[in-house]
Amino acid sequence: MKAAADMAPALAVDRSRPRSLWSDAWARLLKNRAAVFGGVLVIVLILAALTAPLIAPFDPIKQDLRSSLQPPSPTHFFGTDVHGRDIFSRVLHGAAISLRIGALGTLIGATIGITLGLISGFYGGLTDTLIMRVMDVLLAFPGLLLAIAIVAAIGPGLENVIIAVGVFSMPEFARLVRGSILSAKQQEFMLAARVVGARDVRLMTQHLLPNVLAPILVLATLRIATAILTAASLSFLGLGAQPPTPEWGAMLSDGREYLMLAPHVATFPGLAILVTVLGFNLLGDGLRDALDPRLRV
Amino acid sequence: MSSNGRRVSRRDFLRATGLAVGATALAACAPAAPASVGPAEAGAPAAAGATTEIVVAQYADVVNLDPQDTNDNASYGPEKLMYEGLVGYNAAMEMEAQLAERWEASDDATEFTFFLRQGINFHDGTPFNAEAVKYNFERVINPDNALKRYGLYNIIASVEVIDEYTVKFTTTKPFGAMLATFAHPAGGIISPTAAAQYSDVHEFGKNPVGTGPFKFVEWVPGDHLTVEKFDGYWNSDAAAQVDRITIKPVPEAGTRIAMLLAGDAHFINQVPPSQVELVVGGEDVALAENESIYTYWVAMNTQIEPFNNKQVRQALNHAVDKQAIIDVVLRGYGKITDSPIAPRVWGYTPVMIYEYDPEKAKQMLADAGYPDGFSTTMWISDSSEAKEAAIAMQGQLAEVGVQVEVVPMEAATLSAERFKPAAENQSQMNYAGWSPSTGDADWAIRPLLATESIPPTSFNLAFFSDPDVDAAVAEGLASADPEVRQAAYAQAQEAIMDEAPWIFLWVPTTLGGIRKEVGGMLIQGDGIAYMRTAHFVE
Repeated sequence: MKAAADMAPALAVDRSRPRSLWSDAWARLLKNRAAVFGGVLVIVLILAALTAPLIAPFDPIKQDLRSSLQPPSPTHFFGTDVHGRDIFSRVLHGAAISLRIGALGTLIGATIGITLGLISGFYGGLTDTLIMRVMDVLLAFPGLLLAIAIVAAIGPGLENVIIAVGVFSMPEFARLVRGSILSAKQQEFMLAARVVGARDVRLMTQHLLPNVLAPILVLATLRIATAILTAASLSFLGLGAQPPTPEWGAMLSDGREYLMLAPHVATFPGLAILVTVLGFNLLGDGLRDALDPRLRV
Repeated sequence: MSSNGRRVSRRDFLRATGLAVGATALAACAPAAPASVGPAEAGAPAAAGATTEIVVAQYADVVNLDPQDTNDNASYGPEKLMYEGLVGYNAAMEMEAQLAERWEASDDATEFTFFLRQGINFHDGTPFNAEAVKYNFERVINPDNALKRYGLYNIIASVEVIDEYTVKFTTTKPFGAMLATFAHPAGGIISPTAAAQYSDVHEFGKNPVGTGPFKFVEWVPGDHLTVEKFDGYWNSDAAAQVDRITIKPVPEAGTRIAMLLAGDAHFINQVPPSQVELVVGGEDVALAENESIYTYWVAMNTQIEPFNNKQVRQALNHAVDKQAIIDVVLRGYGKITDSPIAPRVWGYTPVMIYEYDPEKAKQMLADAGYPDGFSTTMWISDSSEAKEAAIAMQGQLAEVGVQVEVVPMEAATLSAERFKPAAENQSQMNYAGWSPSTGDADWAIRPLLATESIPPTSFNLAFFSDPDVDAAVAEGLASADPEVRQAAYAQAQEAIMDEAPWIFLWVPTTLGGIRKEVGGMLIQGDGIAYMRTAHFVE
């Protein structure tokens, strides 16, 4: 959402001037209903995550074995789980956990990936070969499998899931940035910058990076969805959040035993994952459509 | 054979022929499978002319069919259809005579003489006699054979044939639990001629031959095991009441229950408590309940702080609301244990229950020097039942200030971590359950709480070492006199309850599912399926 805030001033500029890429994209995004819907879902989730401690009616880990597996009711909107905990409160707190994993995991992956991609694309040659072959190795593993392998190596737990998500997001960013750099560095503004004596780091960060921001933003949005889904899968398998943490994947796993008898236990965390992934994917798709220069008239 | 002249109703007849047609149709599709033993071939009741077949779905596949080379319940259930021991356990876990008529033990518990029944033949026609018994136990105690139950019987020093139907065992040292060890399912007697024909001793496990009411037909690993009625069975009172039993491995509980409800299985081995209501509420099906000989507990590492303090251990016993967990996690199918061993284990003495009283627990923790509680970890298996129980305890212990990190581990990792030598063992609390498969107090206490059993030797996960308990366990083994042994084990149980090396939890009920048109099947207290009395009800 930081990107949106930055774009706001762009909208206010004089209409007579040629529209910038960003203001143009913003206008296009607002016209895309699916993207707006996705954006709204994401905003709602962020609000839920931020206000969970205030609006959750119950303590998410407080047990009450006597109210085990109660169906949804005015007291417990989403019912209770086997330990009598309020599922609505757990889902709300779970939003904070999932968003944190999604955002931090993607941030780690993006930071390392972008750096590697810049270096690789900018210098080329042996450096490029070395970095990209390592990325290829990582890409050769299906994402979830790689994450499982990483968590198996460094041990279960939320922090380690964030690291695993970061590592498996990294090669996508590296490849994307390298590809964009390869074409951008051939352009004349690069030659101009070199002529005035800009050093490598300046060339990379001040001249090349801004040119590949749009695709990075799109990828990051889509990767957040993947990261959240992967983290939930890891927790579902017992490798992520440890009890009694109200993580959606772990809650889904707990509810699996009761699919026939008390379907609400698995349904609500499942819906929460669905809505989150859908929100980020719709927003990401909308951003891509809005930012893709080939679509500009 | 008297009980076999069962009349077959029209419905049974239709069902049976339907099954036979189904089997033939399947066989036609897959000609490679030697599954199509027609009704004429099978030993069908003459009056009916149709085979009666029971289908069982169990939680895991058979691993092996050689009782001396088996250590899993999924294999012991089917084995008990085909084999009998000198002595054995009935469905209520009471010891009964099987192939031996009577027995004698020397007072010092080193010599055990069995007087065998006469006129019994194995499925392959080999006569059962003292030589056969000698062959069996010399086979299992021969270390070169590397059979899985070597450790259970290597206490036997020699087997002597006194006459054709009398055999005497001598043990290396006094061993009061010897009779129970013979009653263990590993004591099923195999045919010496059948076993001797294989150069590789492990081949017999795929071609089992015993004396039981059912004989082996075929085993297709991963798909099914079929046994059929043995016409030459010696005991007409306990003869097979159906022609065939087919046992299929179905690991997913939901699938087993669906098979039961749809009539695709007559009996299912294990219904998890979380899904019990599907069976209870199902049409034409019922729950097959049986009190188990398992006890569940949380072992506390008594060698390290804070668990080296008895008051802390007792406090935690007061902090756990056992009944609430039984009601929720076990759906009420269990009861609080009042001894380290279950009531159906021989030698059990009721001692006491630590009442749920969090205030008292807090006070005791404060008295012990932990007014603010402490943090610890609890290792559990990754089964959902273990997780649910552990999370409930985590919540209850938090109420008295004890912060527990629940660490679920996959089975192999868990046992590797648990059985590390004391010096490098990281375990603090361990949630586990135990069933003494000999049904005897010795195997319920010694491997879990005797000093000699501290890891890596055995399963003393509490690293509990108490001279009184050790002395009582030794006394129980030194005699074959039931009264002496009973008194010794009562002493041990009382000392253990007081010392509280465990949080004592519950004795669960074994749960199977059965269709109403059949009967005579349940899961024994030790977790092994009991199916030899399977029958159709009119």
